[in-house]
Amino acid sequence: MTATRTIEIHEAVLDKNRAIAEQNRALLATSNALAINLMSSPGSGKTSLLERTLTELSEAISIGVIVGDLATDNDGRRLGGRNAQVIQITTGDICHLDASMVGTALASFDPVPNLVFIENVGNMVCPAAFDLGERVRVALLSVTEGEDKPLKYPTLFRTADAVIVTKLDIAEVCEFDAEAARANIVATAPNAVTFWLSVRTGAGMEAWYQWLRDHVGERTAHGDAI
Amino acid sequence: MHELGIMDSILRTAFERSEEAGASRIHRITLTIGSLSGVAPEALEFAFGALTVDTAAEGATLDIRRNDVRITCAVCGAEYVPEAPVACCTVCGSPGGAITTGREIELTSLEVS
Repeated sequence: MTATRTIEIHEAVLDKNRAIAEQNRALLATSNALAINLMSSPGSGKTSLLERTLTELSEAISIGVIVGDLATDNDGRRLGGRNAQVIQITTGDICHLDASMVGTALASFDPVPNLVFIENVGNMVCPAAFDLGERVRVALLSVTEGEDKPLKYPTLFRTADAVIVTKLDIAEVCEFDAEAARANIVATAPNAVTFWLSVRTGAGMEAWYQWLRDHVGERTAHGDAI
Repeated sequence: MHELGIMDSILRTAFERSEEAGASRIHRITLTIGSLSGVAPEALEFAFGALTVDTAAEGATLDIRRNDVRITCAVCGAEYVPEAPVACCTVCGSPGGAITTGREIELTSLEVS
């Protein structure tokens, strides 16, 4: 019987994903495009936020959306007809988007828009582990989900550059404790910009639009600024 | 749920390296998993059991080492382990900073024969 021996490997398991993410990031940078990865639980309002954002901004900024869902192209269809290039990815049983799926979608843009939203699969756990080549990571939290979501899913929130609290118009009915939510967001994502808005009434949307305009403007003016 | 795919990719690398080393059995696989990696060790263990049946790693031990999240404070420069899930510097109290470790999913070593 041969003796056992140890082989040292020290290889990052997601190295392949990370390498493809870097390719995506390089392609986006040379196209002066800002890519935003939107992540949240299902039903927190990612598609609604994008519907209204496309309607309001797609005249001024060229926008593309990559939409990931387990099944159906419902979200892709909801986002159609708004002057934006929409690419639907149906992942089957896969609970997150990975860099290679996004790379394939990016290759089918013609041309690559200045602002690319990546609407991830509704899931607060798995998407957080995968770098897609985005520049900005945004986590959404709707008032119906409870103010302690950032504490329950710290990985997603801690890696977010911006947090958007959605459905503010029904906060009172949901007995949403805004102060507790604010404290929980600051505790898990202290460096994140925070937006409080209602897509339905439009309250708070302007700050989000301005933030997008500023970031897209910075990119087209100075290239890799963010 | 994504742990199955991650374990599949770990095992592929493990079989490749083990073959390259001229070994025919894998006895132990050691992983280093950051607590902010978004990967659950229990789910990795389940996937490991399911994916190693009838392979050179059947019956092998899966050894998972956990790596704490470490953050470098943007204000005072201290490296600290946050009291999860709140991230405030344990030295000066400032919130946030740069995550230095805790997001890794690494195939660290193999024990083969």
